[in-house]
This record gives sequence, structure tokens and C-alpha cells, in this order.
Amino acid sequence: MRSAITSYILAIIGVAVVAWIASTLLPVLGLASSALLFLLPVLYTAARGSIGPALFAALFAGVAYNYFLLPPRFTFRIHGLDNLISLFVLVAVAVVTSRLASKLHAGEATASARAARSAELAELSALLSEHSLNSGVERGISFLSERYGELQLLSDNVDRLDPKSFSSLDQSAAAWARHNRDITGHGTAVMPAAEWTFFPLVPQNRRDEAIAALARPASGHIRSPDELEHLKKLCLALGQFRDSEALEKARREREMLEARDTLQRTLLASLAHDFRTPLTVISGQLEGLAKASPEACEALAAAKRLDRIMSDLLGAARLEQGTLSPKMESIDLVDAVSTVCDDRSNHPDIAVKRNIPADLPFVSADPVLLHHVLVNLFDNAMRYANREVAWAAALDGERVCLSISDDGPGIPVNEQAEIFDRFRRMKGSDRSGGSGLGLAIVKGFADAMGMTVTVETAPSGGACFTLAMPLAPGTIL
Amino acid sequence: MQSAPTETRHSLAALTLGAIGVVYGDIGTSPLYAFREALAQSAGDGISRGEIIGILSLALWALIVVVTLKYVLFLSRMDNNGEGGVLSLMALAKRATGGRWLIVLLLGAAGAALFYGDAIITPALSVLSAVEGLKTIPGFESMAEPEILGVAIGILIALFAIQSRGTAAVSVLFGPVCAVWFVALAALGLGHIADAPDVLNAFNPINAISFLTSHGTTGLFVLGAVFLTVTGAEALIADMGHFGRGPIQWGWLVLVWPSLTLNYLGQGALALKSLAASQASGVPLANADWFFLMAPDAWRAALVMLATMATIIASQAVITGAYSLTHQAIALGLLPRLTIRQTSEHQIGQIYMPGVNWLLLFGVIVLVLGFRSSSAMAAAYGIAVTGTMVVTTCLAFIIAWRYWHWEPVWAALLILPFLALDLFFFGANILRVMEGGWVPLLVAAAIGLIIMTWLKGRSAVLARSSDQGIALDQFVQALTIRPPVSIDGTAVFLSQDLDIVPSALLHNLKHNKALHKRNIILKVETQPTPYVAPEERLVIEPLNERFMTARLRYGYMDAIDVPSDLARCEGLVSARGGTSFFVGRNVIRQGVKPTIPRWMSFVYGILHRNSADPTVYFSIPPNRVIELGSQIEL
Repeated sequence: MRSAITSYILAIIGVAVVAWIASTLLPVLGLASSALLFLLPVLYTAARGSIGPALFAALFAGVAYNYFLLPPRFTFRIHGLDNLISLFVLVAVAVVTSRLASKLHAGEATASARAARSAELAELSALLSEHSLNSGVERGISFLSERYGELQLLSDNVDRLDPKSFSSLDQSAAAWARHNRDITGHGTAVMPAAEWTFFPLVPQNRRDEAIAALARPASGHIRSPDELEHLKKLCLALGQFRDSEALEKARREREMLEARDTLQRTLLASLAHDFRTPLTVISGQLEGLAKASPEACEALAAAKRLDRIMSDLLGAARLEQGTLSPKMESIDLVDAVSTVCDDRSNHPDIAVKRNIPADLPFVSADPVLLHHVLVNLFDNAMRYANREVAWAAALDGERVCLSISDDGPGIPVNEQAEIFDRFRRMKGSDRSGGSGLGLAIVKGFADAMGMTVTVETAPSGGACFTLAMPLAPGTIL
Repeated sequence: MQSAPTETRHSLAALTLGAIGVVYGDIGTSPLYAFREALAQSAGDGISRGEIIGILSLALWALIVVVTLKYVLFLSRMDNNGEGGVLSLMALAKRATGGRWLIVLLLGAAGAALFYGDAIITPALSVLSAVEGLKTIPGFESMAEPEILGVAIGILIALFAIQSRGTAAVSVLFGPVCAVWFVALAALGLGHIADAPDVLNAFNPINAISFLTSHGTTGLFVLGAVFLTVTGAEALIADMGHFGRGPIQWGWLVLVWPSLTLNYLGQGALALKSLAASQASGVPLANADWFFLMAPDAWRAALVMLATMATIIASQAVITGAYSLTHQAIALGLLPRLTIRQTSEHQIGQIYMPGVNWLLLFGVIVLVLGFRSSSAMAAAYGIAVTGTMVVTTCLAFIIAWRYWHWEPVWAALLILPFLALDLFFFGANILRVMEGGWVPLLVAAAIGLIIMTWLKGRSAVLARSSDQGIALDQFVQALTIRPPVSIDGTAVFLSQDLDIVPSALLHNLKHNKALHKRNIILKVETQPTPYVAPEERLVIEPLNERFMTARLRYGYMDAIDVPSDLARCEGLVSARGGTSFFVGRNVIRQGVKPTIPRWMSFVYGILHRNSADPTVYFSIPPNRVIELGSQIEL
């Protein structure tokens, strides 16, 4: 406004000076060149930018030219068509020049505004990239707050905002921005009466409901569509940074997890292989000695337990590597179970019952893996049983179900689903001696052989594991 | 306007200046042609001294009685919460009579229709009469009619063409330019009164009366032309909402009225002086362009330019007035919705209506080319303006009686003289129907026909759809018994009748087979008051936990923003799942058993098809709107 007034004053002064010069020097200059002189103040005013003062200067110059120079001088009278045409040309040239100059000015102003905006965007991006997630977002917010007024980041999953700072209208505008990812609120087409303007932090095609709320300008002016568009870009940059930081964090966590897994697997494999060889030597030697000395007998039992743990570890490693390829054969369960039971040194306090009908059809399984499964199940039962461990088997449709139950503490229902996880042991269990891998191996091997293994509570209150096994091919029921 | 007391004085001056630019442009350009036209009516046998004084006296007393007494002192007190103008008065009268009087609606419609006649003549007449002033500039006497028409049409086209860009930026110049104009009017007048001081006799009303009684029919024709001095008085009350009563009254009493009086006196003095000169040389005095002749030769070009600017400003005021009247008429349901564009981001109320703009320009150019001179056009001018004045006075009577609760006798006693005067002027103008007065009447008739068709058609559509509709409460009950699939979010169904189920809701259920968690049946109503406070707009009636009906009540001057006003209610549209707006779009078909005449349903169909998108009118973002069509047989 001030500069416009200055322009008007300059126009008046300029035209007055030119009028004075031209009217005193008219005899020397002649009418035509005097007329040209009047273009100077007009051009100068037009070059200052706005159209109003330029037009004013043009008209004022035309009037002054008519009054001071055109004969009859010192009247506004227009005498004949040629005078009118020179006046018209003066005005037209002035108008066109001023239009051109002000257009140029306006274009320059737009270009510099655009440049300033992209510089600001770049500044924000640079600022963000220097910082980590939390401090970066905070710095971004304070960067924008300094320039545009209070800015708040409203993350998703907030159904109601603080009613102290957000009125009902603001809440609705925020909900609208979240849901449609439009700019809403003050200065926009949607709910312009709101006190805040809400910007989505993600592009339209993404499903994320985070938004930024920007307080309306304290000066009371309404932000222009250009400014809003620019602010939207700034907010998107902020949102993108927030997203990429979150992604980066998730990726790092996943990588760490994978590294840990790999370590675990390698450890398992090396344990299983490298320990086994010396252990076999020890067991062989001890077996020879055991016949003579009872101490050696004890050592042999320990060595055998160690061997079992080793074979569990090896099994787990094989399962993990996915190198398990079962060789299925027809197997008689009566034999399989008795091998397991006879092989174990029976605990004196625990009775082992076997209720396996002799006419049970053969099942299809890998003998080595099945043996391992049954050993693990039996060891597990023996470990928790108080008095009794019972084997039972029955034909159930197309499958044979072999179950083993104990009369121990049993497994709480809510933990039954997790009992087959690795290194999972019942809480509060003081009995130990297992590797924590046994049941996981049971599950893994059973799956590999096409069997299902389930756990439930036995009638006696202990645990009851059931293996459902496919029949051997060619079996006629 | 609602500023602190310390600013009052400053803002009163500023507002008065603004009012001078907008309100008084029209009446302020009357001196260009009014005196000349009045004198022309009695100039057939040469002009006598008695005629000059008599006509002048009539003009001065017309300004006193019609403008000062009737408009400035009386009608300006009759505002509808600060808003004036014929439709505001209609709304006020409607409120006062409980909306049951058909005459109120008819008067309002007639007043609005006549205004459009006025709105095309004012720019044409005033710009043309200013440009005709070119002929009085020495060296331009030879200017032919086509050149003058060309310049006038060029100015008018430019004026209408820049409307779309908004006039807020240049409007700050209107007040100062008009103030200069009025000062110039006064200065010109003062300069000539001294030449023939006996012109002051015109203040004696006996001169006016004796002129009328002695001239018979010619007197009536003269009266019709004298009326041109008060054209534009209607703007005094029409723009009251913008400036307030005070600035308008002050502007008139302090600047405009004295300037006009001095100028007419000056024109009279000049005529008397010329009369003396011509009597001395023995030739009868011929009528002339008295206004421009008042200025000395050397200043005449400047005066023509100033006059042109003043007439452009006057035309601008009429164009803006036409937009605002159309806007009110749409809000009050008199006209179909037209496209309305805001031209200023900062000033609400700066609007532009492309349809109105181009129709006005078309009318103006037809008038200029048809009548070819301001004198010919002056015959057409009076009828539209006097018609509007008659309407205004009738409405004023209803308001004084029913709203101010005056005794009908006293109201009649005060208003009857004004009405008689209006009718007298109207009668005087009716005499000139054949000379061109039929043009504004034709325009008014066409607009009146559109208004009537729109009113009738709409009520027929409403009646038809409520006949065929399903009662809302029963429907809601039925849905609770057998609920359809429920989806998240809020659905807002725009409806015109809250008792029946909106067709969009039925269609949505039928085709999408789902119902939103929350459903709002919304009716947008316009109240006969100019403004309704935002917190008082929404009235909600819950039907059950899923359905509610809501009314949004706006004043006829309010900017409508449905999403914002729904959002002001706590939690109404801020729930998860978003909000969708459902709009039923009716297609009008000719029915087998028509309820309104065929031609009317045909015209209504055209109006309906061409009316602007309601969602834009309600400020609902187009990407949240679902339109579902249905057919209505009329």
C-alpha cells in the first residue's frame, strides 16, 4: 500500500517535471519530441511494478500534455482529430508499456516466490536428514512453527483431540483430513471456518491417518491456495521422513533378529556334529567298562543322556536347515514302542503300561525319525510322571492314533498351543534334564512325516500327547 | 462496522465515502439527462420561463418528497436486521404475516422482476448519456451516432467483461471519484445560479403545482420525465446492509442532496440565461444538453471523462446490486440456483454470477442498439423504477401494520400520500409505454414468469414426492427390525422433506445393500431473516441410534457451508469412517396426469436442468458427494 502511494506521488512529480520542462522548451523541442518526453515518467512508474499507478501516470501525462502543450495551450480543449490521435497514442503506448512492465514484474515476483519456496523445502529436507527419527521430526516441527505459526503432529489412532485447543469444528476438519487425506480447515474449501488447517502427512493413495495441524495466522489473514499447496509439500516431506525413519527402524530390527537366528543355527549344527564324535568314543569305552564297574555304569547312563541331547540338537539343526527327507517304510508300532521302552533304563518308581493291540495295522513312517519322536515323547513323560506312564494306540478312521500319557502336573490349557515351541518349558517346573528341544523336534519330525501331534489333558490330570499317523500304503482295513 | 468506539468517527467517514461511491452513483448521474428530458416534453412549442421554473420546481420537490422524506427518513428505518432492499422487505413482511399472505410473495417477485428491467436500462442509459457529452466538446460536434454508440458499447462490454475478475481492487476508488463528481456538480451549479438568481423561485412549490395544473396532459408527460431525477433512490435502502443507515443518511443530507439541488438550479439558470439571449434575438429557445453546456469549453473534455467514470461507477453499483438481488432471490427460493463465484478470498460477499452478467450485457447492448439515444431510452426508464417504488411502498405498509403494529388507519394515513405519489408517477410513466416503456415491462414479465414457474414447479415436485414417498419413521422402524449390512462412517442425505425417506437413501439401500453406522437426513432451509448465527443454525432430532433428522437454517444473506455447520455440533461428523453426502438428482418427466400445465412443467424442466449443482451451492466438496438419480413426473 505504502509503495503504491509512493508510486502515485512519483508519477505526479515526474509528470509535473516533464510538463514544466516541455512547456518551457516547447519552441526548441517541438510538439512531437515533447510528447515523447511524457513517456519517461510513465515508463518509470510502470517499471515500479503495479498497474494502478502506471495507468494513473499515463492518464495524468495525457491530460498534462493536452493542457500544457496541445494548442490551444492551457485548456483541455481538443482541437481536431490529429490532436486526439496524438493523445490517444500517448495513452495507448503508456498503457501497453505499463502492462508489459508490470507483467514482467509480476512474473519475476512469482518466480522468486517459487524459488524461495523450493529453497525452504530443500532446507527442511536437509534439516531432517541430519537428525534421527524423533529429534528430526521435532526439529522439523519447530522449523515450520517458527515460520508459519503453531504446528502440531497428530498421529493416527486418536479418536478425539484435546478439546481445549480443538473445537468441534476443528475435530471434524481433522477427521475429514485423516479420512480423505485432503487439506481441510482454515483457508481451504472444506470447513473454512475452523481455527486450524489440517494437512495430511502421506500422499492420497496411502493408508495412514497421520496429519499435521497448523494454527491459523495470528495476523488474521487467510492463507492463499499457493501457500497452502506449499505447506502441503512441506508436511508431506515431514511425513515422508517420519515414514522412512520408521521403516528403517523396522528393517534394522528384522536384520538383528535374522542374525541372531543364523548364529543359533550354526551353533546347533556345530554342537551336534563336533560333540558327537568324542561322545561315541566315550560311550563305546564305557560300555566295555560297565560290565565290570557300577561307577562306569552310571557314567554310561550320563553319556547316553548326553548323546540323546546331542541327537536332539542335530535333529533341530536339520529341521532348521530344511534338509530333512524322511524315508517312509511300513512299521509295526508294537515293535517300535517296545524298542523304545526296552532301551531305556526303567525308573524303579514309575510303571510303564503298554496298551497297544497286536492286530494294529502297520503305519507309514521313517524308522529313525519315528524312533527319535517316540524316545522324546517317552523321556518327556518319564520326566514329569509321578507313578505311571501309559502307551495306548487305536485305529481312528484312516489313521492310527498313538498316545502316551503321564500322571504328572499336566499342561495348562493356555500353554498347550506353545508347548511345541523351541526352548519352551513349563513355568514353575523344577524338573529339568531336557534340552528344551525335545517337543519341538517331535513336532518338526512328525510334520515331516505327515503326522499330527496334539496335546491334551489326560484323565489322570497329566499330559497326554497323541500322534496321528498315516497307515502304510496297501493296508486293507 | 462493529469496531471500537474510538474508531467510530473514522469509520463513519470512511463508510460515508464508500456509500457515496456505491449508493449514490445512479441518482448522481441523473442530472446528465433528467432536466433535459423533462424540458424536452414541453419543448414542442419553444420553452417558456414558466416551464423552466415549473419543471425545476417539480424536480427539486421530487428530490425532497420522494428521496429525502420517503427513502432517507422513512423507508431507511424499515430494515430486516440491518438489511434493506425489496427482497429484504418481502422477507420481513413474510415474517410479519407468518408467511401466509400470497400478496407479499407476489409483491416481492414483482419488485425483483422490475429490478432486472432497471438493471439493464441504468448502465445503458447513463453510459450512453455521458458519451453523448462528447458531442458538446468543441471539435467533436460532427461526431455521428454510430461512433457514439460504438464508444458506449465498448465501455459497457469492457465493464461487464472485467466483472469476473472481481471489482474489489478498484472499488476503493469509487467513493473518491464520486465525491469529486458531486463536488463538480455543485461547483457547476453554483457558477450559473449567479447568472440568473431568480431561478431560486423554483423552491416555491406553487410553481410546480401551477405548472401541472396549467399544462394538462403535457404536465403528466413532464412528470414522467421529472421522475428521472429520483431514479436510483431504491439503492438507498438496497445497500443499507453494507454501509448502515447512518452513512447513507449523512451522505445524502450533507453532500448528495445539496450537490444535486445546486446542479439542477444551475441547469435551470443556464436555460433561463439562454432564454433571455434567444428572446433578445427573437428565436424560440431550443432544448439542449444543459448539463454539459454548463462547463466552459476548455473543461468540457474533462467533464465528459468525469461523467463517464461516474456513470461507469453507477452501472457497477447496479450490476453488483443485480448479483446480490439474484443471490437473495435464490436463497429465498424465487429463482433456480445459478453458478456463484467468490471473486475475493478476503471479502465474503464479493460475488460474480456469470449467467446474470452475460444476460445483463446482452440486454444492455440490445437496448443501446435498439434505442440509439439516451433521450429515447429515458422513456423506458421510468416504468421499471416507479414500479419498484410502488412495490416497496406497498410492502412498507404491510410492515408498518403487521410488524411495527401500527394502527392500520395511521399506517395508511402516513403511507397513502407516498403511495399516491408513486402511483401518480407510475401513471405518468405508463403513458409512455408505447415509446419504449414496454421493454422493462417485457423483461419484468419474463423474469416474473420464471419466478412463478419455479415456485409452482417446486411445490408440485415436493407434493409429488411426498405423495410417492415412504414415511420416514416407519421406514426407520422397519430397518431396526431387519437391519441391513452396517458400514463405518456417517452418511448425510440431503432432503427437502424430513417426513419422507430421501430417494437417495432408498437407492443406496437397494443397490449397495448397506447402511452407514450413522445416517443424517438433512434439510437446508432459508429463514426470512438476513443472518442466522452459526451456533443457532443446526437443529437435530434423533430418531434412533442410527438415524437422525437435522435442519440447517440459514439467513438469506448467509454464505452456506453445510460441512462446517454440521461440524460445529460436537462429534457429528468427526467420527471414524468419514462422512459421505448423498444427493438425489431429480429428472423431470412430463406426466400422464399433469399437476401443472404442460408448458409450465416444460419450462420448469429446463430451469431445473440448468440450475447449478446443489452441492457447490452448499459448499460440499465434490469428491465427497454421491449423486443418485430419480424421476419425478409432473
